Amino acid sequence: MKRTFSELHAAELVKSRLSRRRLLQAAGLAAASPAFLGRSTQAQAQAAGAPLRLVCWPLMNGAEAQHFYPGGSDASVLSTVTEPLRKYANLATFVKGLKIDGAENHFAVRATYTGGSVSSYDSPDPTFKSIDQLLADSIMAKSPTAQKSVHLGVIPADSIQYYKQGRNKFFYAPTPVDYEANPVTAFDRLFGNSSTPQPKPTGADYTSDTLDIVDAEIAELDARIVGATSEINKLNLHQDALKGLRTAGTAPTTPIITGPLPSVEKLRPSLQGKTGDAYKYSYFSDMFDAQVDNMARVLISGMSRVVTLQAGSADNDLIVPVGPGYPHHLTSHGDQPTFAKLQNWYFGKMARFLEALDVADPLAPGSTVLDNTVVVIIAECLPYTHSSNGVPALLLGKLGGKIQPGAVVEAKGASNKTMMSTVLKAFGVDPAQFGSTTLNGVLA
Amino acid sequence: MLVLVGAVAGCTARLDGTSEGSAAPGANPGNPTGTAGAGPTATPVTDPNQPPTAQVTCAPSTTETVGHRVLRRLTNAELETTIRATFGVDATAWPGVDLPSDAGSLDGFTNNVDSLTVGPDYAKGTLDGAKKLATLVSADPLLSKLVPCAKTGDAACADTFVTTIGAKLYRRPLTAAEKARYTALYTKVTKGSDFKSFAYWATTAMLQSPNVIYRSEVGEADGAARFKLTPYEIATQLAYTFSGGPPDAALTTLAASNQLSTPDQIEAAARTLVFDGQAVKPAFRDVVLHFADQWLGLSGLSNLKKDATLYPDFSAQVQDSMAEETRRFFTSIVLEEKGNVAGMLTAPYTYVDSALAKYYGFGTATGTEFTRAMRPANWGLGLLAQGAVLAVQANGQTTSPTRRGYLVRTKMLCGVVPPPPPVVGQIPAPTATQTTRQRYEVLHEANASCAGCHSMMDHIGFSLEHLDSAGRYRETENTFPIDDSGTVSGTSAGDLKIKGAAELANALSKLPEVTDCLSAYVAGYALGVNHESAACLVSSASAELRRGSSLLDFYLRIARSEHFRSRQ
Repeated sequence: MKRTFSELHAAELVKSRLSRRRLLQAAGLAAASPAFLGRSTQAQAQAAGAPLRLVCWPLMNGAEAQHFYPGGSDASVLSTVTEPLRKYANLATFVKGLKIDGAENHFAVRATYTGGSVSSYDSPDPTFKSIDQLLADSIMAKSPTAQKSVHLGVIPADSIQYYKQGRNKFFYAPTPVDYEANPVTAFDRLFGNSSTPQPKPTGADYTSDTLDIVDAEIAELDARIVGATSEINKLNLHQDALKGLRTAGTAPTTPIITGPLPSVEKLRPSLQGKTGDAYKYSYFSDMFDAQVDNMARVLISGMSRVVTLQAGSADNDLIVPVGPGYPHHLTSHGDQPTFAKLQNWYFGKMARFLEALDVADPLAPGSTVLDNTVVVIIAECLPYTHSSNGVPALLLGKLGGKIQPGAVVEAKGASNKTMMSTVLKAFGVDPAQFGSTTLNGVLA
Repeated sequence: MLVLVGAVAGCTARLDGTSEGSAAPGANPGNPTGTAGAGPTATPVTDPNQPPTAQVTCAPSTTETVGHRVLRRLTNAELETTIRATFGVDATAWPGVDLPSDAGSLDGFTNNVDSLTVGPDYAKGTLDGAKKLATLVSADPLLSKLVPCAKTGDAACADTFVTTIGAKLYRRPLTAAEKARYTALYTKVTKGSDFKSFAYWATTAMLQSPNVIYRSEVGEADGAARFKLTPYEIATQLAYTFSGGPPDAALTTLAASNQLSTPDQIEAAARTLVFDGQAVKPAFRDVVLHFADQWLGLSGLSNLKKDATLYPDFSAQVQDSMAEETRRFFTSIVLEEKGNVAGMLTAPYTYVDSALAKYYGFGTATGTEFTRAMRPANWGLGLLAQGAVLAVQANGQTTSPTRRGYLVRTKMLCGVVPPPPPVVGQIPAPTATQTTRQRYEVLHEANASCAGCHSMMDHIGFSLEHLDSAGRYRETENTFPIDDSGTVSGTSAGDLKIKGAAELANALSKLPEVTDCLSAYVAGYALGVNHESAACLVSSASAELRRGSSLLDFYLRIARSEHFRSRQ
């Protein structure tokens, strides 16, 4: 059903009344009460159980085992690399001995979350959907969210020119998903730029009519290019994207947290409308914080229950701001204790993320968002050897009790497929291309 | 014939975070120059394991051929220019498009026909952005400026809005069916609202239209297994290729009167877009400089961080000046002097401002004004002696013969370097007890599995060793003398022994495959296809470039190619 502009305006008013509470929540100063949710939304959440969230967070270039894993079988001991997670050590499940099936080296990034086979840099992309998209499909079929999934990046390649070149893709639907590398753009696109509200025309909302026009023109173009497979495929992708816009328009209203995010606003003067500047190394740490905060807000609000973050790329040389600053890839080929310090820095950002999720879950009273989340961390290969046997892997979270954390799981011989299958099963989703084998001792 | 790939099976690559051997998919493995004999032809990629692509592969033939029918999504810059031209909005009134970054191709260009698609984020960004702009367009004073009849706001005015604004955005008159949809929208919207509301929703629809977002190079069947591009498609192709923006009124008039059908007519129109009298128009200059920036990967310059102890003078100001130095050099050689490939590689001069004159230690300039300066003899020649190129293709502490050699091997010789192997050993840090060359020789030459690939790169890069990581001449390294002898292996003239940067430049300037390679990259950028495909499409123009014609003439002659007029 289309909503009129006055109805939309009324919704804005409701949101503004809630802004103080949500600002506090966003800042982590107060646990949000679910009171602001509509009764029907609360009831749905309670009836269906806690809404579970998935986060995919690739670990670029991995780490040597002695720096990544705890010495024994107690995961909460943590390690050099993961020490920043100390406050949340009880949520860790380390997985040892995993290999990436059907791929190795940096090009394994395309296989890690898809389970596809990628034999070289030049191989075609996998034709499978990655784990995030399989879960998002399931969520959208059962209880749609405003955004099917959200994909963010922090300098996801050496420079804007190399954005999304073959070796930097992780997530597929089954074509590579778009991701947003500019946190200010991401914030504005997801939550609207609260500082500059857009006036709207009087009268009804004809967004759907505009999409009808676009669809009709695509159909005409489609008829003109019969036989041009690549271009027909291009138009099919375009039409799928339009379907997503229509779905988003009909998804149930979710409790959107309003108000600015300080980490985003800090960058706004430098990055608003400046796509290229989001690839400047000097902003790396601040952009990382802002994207982490964007992700947290998406998950807390229930805007989407699936997010991914590509921080850096598998073989780039962005300067990681540790000490004098070290180039990421070059350091991975050198002194491993130094490289472990760089990966430790990335886990400092992970700690910020977990902290942000450690607030009352507005969709599941009595639990935190963190309680209902799992973060899937896996590397494509080991640092200097480029081997994809024994890649670092880590699950963070209890996922509403579906996962039993705390172990260092010896999974020698298992693969990334086994890990993805385990995670999907925890969500109650068909593991599809990953097979039915699961990791021992992970599922509750 | 240069055959490298087969000889280096098992070779390793990459010492130091180079953009490792991104052996371009679809490259003709037996022909690293990217061209195939005289006059290649194109055939569709039919490998069922490959994703759909609009690229073509070359096969021996005596006639120049044409590419496929395509829908080229506008780059973000092209879309922004189109919107500004249509609505007359400057950066003050409208900040610009806010869409996901344009995806890069394996050639490093962000305008490749296969890379630019419309995904969920792009579609949402388009919708959101369209509404923001529609807010501006549907309000006065802009609305009345665009359609003075807006105050009347009747059906006739709605028709005027659709006809005038639509034609500019669609880059052709709208069809009857397209207009009918907007007429229906007008009827529906104005039942409960006013003309401004219609203008808002019509603008929102138009800015999402596939006819706006894509450049149509689809054509119409000519009855002879080809598709002839329409005059409006040709006008659009000309405009974006030679000005980076949509067709202006003059070009649209030529299309409307069917005066864009012969090679002479099309080239004449291209020249109008390029020249203002004898001078080159700024829009075309920007197109050329964007090519140079992406071809050479210079966007990384602003992110460079050198060891502050070793290179204390490599400041942000120097980096900015180096970027401008290369822009000035490219502008001078290609656009002002109308130089050829050899000239670009061997020009003895560069441009400096006061910061660079002080940094390099040669040339004189005042403030931020750039002046031409002759480079000292031992500082090398032409493009490969540019500080920006040398600094980008180096590490923070040391030079990188691998990266510098890789640039030459792939972007100037169109060679194919296989990717690194799955297992690469740990690389020891640089020390003060040896030169960079000695370190690389120990790491790569002493290991047969490394030497195969690295000899293709390192031995070229060694010749640039007198030019340090920050783009300046050095007499010694770590107090040791520098050995800048090198080899450009596997060329059409055999293995070329060289010594120093100047000899490298001179050697490359004489190789026909360097000219062919550059023409392939230029044409690939102009036509939005991979350089291997492009070589098939502009073989006639490439032949003239090989005979010494200017790079500017080559770019203009792309407009004469049959590909510019028809497709298979």
